[in-house]
Amino acid sequence: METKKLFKLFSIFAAISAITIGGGYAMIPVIREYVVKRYAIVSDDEFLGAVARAQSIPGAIAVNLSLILGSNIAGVSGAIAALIGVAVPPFTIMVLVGILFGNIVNIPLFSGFLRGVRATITAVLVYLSYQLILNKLKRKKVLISLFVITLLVLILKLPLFWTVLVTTVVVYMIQGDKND
Amino acid sequence: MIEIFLTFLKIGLIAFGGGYGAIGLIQDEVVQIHHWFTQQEFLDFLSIAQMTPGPIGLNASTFIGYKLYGLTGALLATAGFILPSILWVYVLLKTLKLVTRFVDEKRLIEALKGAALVLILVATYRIGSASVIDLSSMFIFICAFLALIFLKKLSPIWIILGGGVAGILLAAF
Repeated sequence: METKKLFKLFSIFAAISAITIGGGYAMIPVIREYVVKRYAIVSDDEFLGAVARAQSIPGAIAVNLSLILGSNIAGVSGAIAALIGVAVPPFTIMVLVGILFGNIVNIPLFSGFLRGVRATITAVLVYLSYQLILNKLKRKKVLISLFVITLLVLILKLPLFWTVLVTTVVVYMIQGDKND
Repeated sequence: MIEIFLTFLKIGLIAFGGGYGAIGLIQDEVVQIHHWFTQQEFLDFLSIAQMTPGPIGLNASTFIGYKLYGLTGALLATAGFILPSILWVYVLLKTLKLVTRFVDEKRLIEALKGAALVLILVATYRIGSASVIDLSSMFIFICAFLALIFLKKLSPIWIILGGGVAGILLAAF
């Protein structure tokens, strides 16, 4: 019974990961469709709570979500089953693409295609930034500091890793200021 | 080869804002710091990662790992990128109560969102300044942006594929 449950978790997340294109944010509604509606392994409230938590920690949202939901449903082994489910299809696909990629990237038609996709990714990124600013970060002081930090990274080519660590501390401190 | 594992471990450890936040970090490490690939190559990889199924950060990690050291590289990069998630979920589920005794949860969440915004803004500028470079890419960018705003029901894959097809058509003229 236990093995069956774990296999089900694995196969649900593998299916989701194999069919959704467009990255984490695009995957959330699909994952919801599967785990809440089609297979009903979690309630909608539980799902939305898990999404909020998955977004608050670093890492790919789909990966975090698989770990949280898997562990809610079947503990540590559930988390592992769901994680393997999420990771295996993209891994296989990317390795296959890697094998073929060298031969197709030089076709002019394909490079035109990639250029178009890149412009689209930029649109997705601008849209994401806009949503983050609009819905989540309302304090002016925090926003201005974030823009200044971003400019510093871009102009001085600061290493992102350390900048992000410092940013987290700075934003945490700024909010302590009651005169905001 | 251990370097690739450690690099992606580092990326996964602070990739706030999901896969799109990870992109800026991956670019920083792979292009700026280690010079494993040129900006142009990185952008090609990114487009591939975006068009293939699965989380974009995970796809990009696997693909870059593969490009560097074949199957072993792909495994190392993927493992490096995923392991921190396990750590963070563990912290989140098991020790959050302990952590919130010492720090204010609301302020912490705001700070993490701030970190995500910086990551995504940096990625936006770096990818945008190399991708929206002429009239045709500007045209695709604007159409895609409008589609994202007004066609919320439309799956992003159609917008991405549409952008690609438009890229082919505009390149032909």
